[in-house]
Amino acid sequence: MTHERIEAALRGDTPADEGGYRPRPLPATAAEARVQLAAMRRPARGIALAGVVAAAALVIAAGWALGTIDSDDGGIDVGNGGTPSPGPSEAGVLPACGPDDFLVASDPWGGAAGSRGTTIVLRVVDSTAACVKPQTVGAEIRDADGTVLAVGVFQTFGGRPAPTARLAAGTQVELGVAWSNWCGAPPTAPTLSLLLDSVSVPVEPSDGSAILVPPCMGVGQPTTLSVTDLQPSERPPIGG
Amino acid sequence: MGTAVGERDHDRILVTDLQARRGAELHGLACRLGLSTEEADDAVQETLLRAWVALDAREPIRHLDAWAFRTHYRICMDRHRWQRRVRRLADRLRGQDSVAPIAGIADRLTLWAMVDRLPERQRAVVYLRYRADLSFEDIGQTLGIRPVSARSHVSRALDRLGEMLREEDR
Repeated sequence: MTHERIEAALRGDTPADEGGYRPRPLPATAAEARVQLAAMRRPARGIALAGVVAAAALVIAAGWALGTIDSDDGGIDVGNGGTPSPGPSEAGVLPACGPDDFLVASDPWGGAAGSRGTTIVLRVVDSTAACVKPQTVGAEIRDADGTVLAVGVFQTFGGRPAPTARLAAGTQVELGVAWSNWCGAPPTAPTLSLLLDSVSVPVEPSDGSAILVPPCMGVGQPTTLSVTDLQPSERPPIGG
Repeated sequence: MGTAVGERDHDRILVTDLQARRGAELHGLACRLGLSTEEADDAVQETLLRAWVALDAREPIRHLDAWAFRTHYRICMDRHRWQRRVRRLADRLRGQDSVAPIAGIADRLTLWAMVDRLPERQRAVVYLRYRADLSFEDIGQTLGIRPVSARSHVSRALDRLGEMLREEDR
């Protein structure tokens, strides 16, 4: 087998363990990222101080359970970024938030480093007593013909169901959308829609500006649309 | 409304985008370097958090993907070295020789399973080149070697993979 054929096979084949990646929630702010990072490193420093021999002895004493050194809690689960979580019974009686429950606004598109994106802000309207955060939040971009150019859905992390949360009237949340690597012909009048569960809600930049198309960063690589989870918004209330 | 995407918002978007585009590949690299699936997830998360903190501190990051792979490689090697030390000492305490197993590497007859039987440096270089699609210059920066050395490692790895495939065919 020549180098060229091996190279082609390596590029075309995906190592099985790549599929084992379970994305974890990212924190809402850089300050929280710092705290989480410190928490991740703190146990390692503690173990180092205790000494390698002590750690090894502990491992043996625990029945040679090396895998338990890094516990499942290594990444701190911030998920909802402070949105209150209801008990099962409360979540069970509240309806899921739908498009009619939100006022929606979007920043003008901006970006750098190959990505273009915006922040979408949603406020639960006063006429809604309360509702439960959608199980999936996503976005899609279509061209003027309605052809879907890119879709992104916030993934439920670690194979667990998306956390539910009660959103009261007046609650304001936001999410980020980033579009990367568009290598096709420039699309005609692309539009953005928010996907709340499976319901599509058109979102236009509040100042009427256009969606920015990202540059091509890798021919043959797919275009991606990344969506963050809904996070509490500290902005002034929209629509009022 | 009417305000542009704030810099802080944009940092979050960049990191989220990095996670979506490169998370699986960072995870795969960690597995190539001998970490378990759980440990690889930890390493990816640490890389993403470090990226965010660096962006927030306005560190000069010219190419975020290459920066992430470089940082991730160091994190993985730190964890790998630590595990190796613990394993050796534990073996010594038990009176056994270390067999230096490579955790999480499946014994399957695929090309990537063969890659996992290459020396550590070659595994990393092959992965960064053909899965992460990094240039030799970026690979050199990631591993702390010269680009020409990265190219040489790839060439030797391909030679060895060719030999393995021929042995499989016999």
